[in-house]
Amino acid sequence: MKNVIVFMDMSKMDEIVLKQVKQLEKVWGFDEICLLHYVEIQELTDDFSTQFPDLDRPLEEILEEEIIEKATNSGWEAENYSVKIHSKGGKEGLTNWINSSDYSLCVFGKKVINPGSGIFASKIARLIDKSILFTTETSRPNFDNVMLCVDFSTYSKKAVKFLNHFIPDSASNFSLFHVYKVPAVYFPFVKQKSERLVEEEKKKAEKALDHFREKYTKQPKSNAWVEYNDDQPSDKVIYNYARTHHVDLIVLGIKGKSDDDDLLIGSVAEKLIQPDRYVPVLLVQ
Amino acid sequence: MKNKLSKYFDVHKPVFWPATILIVVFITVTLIVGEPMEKIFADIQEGLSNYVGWFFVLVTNLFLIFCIVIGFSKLGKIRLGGKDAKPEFSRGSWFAMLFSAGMGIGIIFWGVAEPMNHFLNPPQDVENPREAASQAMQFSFLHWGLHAWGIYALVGLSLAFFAFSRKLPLTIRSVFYPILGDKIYGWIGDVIDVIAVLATLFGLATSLGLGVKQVNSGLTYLFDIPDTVTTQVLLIAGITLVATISVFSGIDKGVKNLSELNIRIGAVFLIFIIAVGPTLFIFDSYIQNLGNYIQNFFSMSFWTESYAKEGEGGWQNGWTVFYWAWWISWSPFVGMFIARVSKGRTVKEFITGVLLVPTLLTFLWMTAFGGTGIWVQLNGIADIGPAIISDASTSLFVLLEQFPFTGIASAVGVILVINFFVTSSDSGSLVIDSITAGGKLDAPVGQRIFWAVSEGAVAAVLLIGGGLTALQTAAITTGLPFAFILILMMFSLYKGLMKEHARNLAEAKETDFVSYQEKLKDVIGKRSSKTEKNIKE
Repeated sequence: MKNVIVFMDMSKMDEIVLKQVKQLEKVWGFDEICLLHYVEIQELTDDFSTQFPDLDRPLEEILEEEIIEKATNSGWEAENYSVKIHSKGGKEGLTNWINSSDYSLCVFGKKVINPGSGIFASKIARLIDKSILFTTETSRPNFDNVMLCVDFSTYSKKAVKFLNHFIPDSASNFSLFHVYKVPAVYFPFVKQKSERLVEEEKKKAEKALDHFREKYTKQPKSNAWVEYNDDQPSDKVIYNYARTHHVDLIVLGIKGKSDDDDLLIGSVAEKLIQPDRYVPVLLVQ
Repeated sequence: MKNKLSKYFDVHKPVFWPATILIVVFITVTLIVGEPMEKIFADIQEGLSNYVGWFFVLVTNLFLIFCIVIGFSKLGKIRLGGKDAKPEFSRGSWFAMLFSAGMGIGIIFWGVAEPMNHFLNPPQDVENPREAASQAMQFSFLHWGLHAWGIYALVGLSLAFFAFSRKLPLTIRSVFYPILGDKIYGWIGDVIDVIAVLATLFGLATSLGLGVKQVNSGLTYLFDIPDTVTTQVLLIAGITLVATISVFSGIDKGVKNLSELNIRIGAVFLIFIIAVGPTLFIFDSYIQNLGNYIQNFFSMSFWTESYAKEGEGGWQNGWTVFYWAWWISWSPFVGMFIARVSKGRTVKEFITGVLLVPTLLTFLWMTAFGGTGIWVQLNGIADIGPAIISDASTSLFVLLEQFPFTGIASAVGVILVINFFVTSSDSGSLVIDSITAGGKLDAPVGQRIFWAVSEGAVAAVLLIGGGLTALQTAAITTGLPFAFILILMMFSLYKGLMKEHARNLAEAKETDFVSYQEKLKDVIGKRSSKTEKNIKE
């Protein structure tokens, strides 16, 4: 099933995301779409009503109406989507609902131009076990040029499966990308790595990636790339490559829990969804 | 001409020249004065130890406590190299590197000699030999354990933090940025670096001197080569030459392989002694020694021999104070290494790793070699004590004599020390070179050769001028000024880390520019007025 939740945050970003998802639906094809808004003020106190004197109906009703209007303005037809306003049960209730639902993809609009910290999205992303798409204001909506980052883990395999499932064969064209490192010679001090070693590791990486491509995808050989990390963090290598090669979407199978308890979605993923990174990211889990 | 010269020399003059001149003056004076120098060295050592012994005991404890407090406070979460930095090495190879930092000439030289010395001359009153044995191991652990690594952790952490998180050059002066600001680039910074260079050089020379003494003893034992200062000086010249050639001919990689090989030989050597020695005793006593160390940690750490009878004290000056000073003078060397490999670790990880990993390994080494020595003596298998007391450098060979494959094992011991000499000399010159070149790591080869030769020369001159006493004096004398630098370093590091913490906190609290409430207000306002309009219509 290709069921999608689109997060609405009541900002101007919503219209942009709605248009993008609409376009994406034409290419990828979705079965069900839910437009969801999480009400961050869950307790309606006296303070709240004095703050919002105009509130003459249930807040949920107003918000739903607003979302429907946004959807209509973006060219959506009423039978194609449902609206959910989550106003009770807090973040935990929200994530429980999402995790137990049969939606397999959540879409967030990440603001790279408009002001926004992205804290909510990245918090939710850590709590849910569904795949997550972060689009930006500058996304090209067709996602023609999709790049899958492969580290040969089971998560990469999961990501490939996801892409094979979500991107129909007719539109399917994604490239594989792997960042390789050269093991360091360390004692007594770290110095320049030899070119021969870099070349050797490159060959190994290429071979492995090619094997991966043949085994799990239908992609042509020209769609597989390796890049040397040269002491840069992997996320930088990935991002720089994506920017210079006009990649529309970076796809990453995520590892979930790493050894640091504050990084539940993997450090590379964490960096790629930072608000200052322009390329849309799909985290598959 | 100038260009040609700078191909071989690219130094930060205000550090390079004062350091060089001081070293040359030291060498010249020692050589001119000759024999009486030994007495002078002994006097200096005694005087310094008598008056500042308590100070060394105090500060080493302070450094260790400081590291633990920093590591396990809120500051422990700070990542070296910024919050996005990733560790350069996997945890496994990082541990291996920390292990290797703990290996060196020192533990090979003192591994047998120290516990045996304490066993035969107990530092504190004991009732029977068994108690003496247990106490001997505890004091050996004290000297080679957490305190030593606390000092290295302090220097390493400071260097790593300011180099990786603050992007300052990898040199000692950078650490004082929070206190001195841009003045670190001025004369104060130069003075700090000069002291660091001298401390490292003399600390290294002490180690090299001990190493060459041991090599000489080994050769005497194996081939009957005379055990004299002349032989030792020739050995230093020979080994330094080999190290120099290897640096000059660009086979740096050879040195690197040698280092790795060394660690392997060391490991095999350790396994060998555990296997042929009293295996069960070694494991038993390792556990017991650990427990005793933990149990008596505070009383031993703060013990200053204050209630010794008039005229009887002095044990501590020759041992604990010497070690504390030696570790302090040696700290830029080890600190620089552990800093270099620890980018991307959190402060907590760094402190835990640096304090525990090498300490546990060193303890095992001490138990295996020293403990076995005590075991041999205690069980009356052989009377190896007198030989060890009279010359510490023979201790390893005297011990190996009690076990099978004596000849091969002794030869391996000698090779191990020679190898460590070459690699320590090589990486030591790299550290000194980097400090005198203003933090550069890729300074011209000529400089490194210069420093390798200087280390050899200082070690040789110290041996000529007074043997072991001179070596110890050198460590204590240069350790003292550097101890003051370390105290400042604590404040500076604390200040730097606090600032980093505040910065991280502020960043996290940064909220959305348009708050959610305002967005809601907009929607509600828009919708309500619409409803009113609808009703009116």
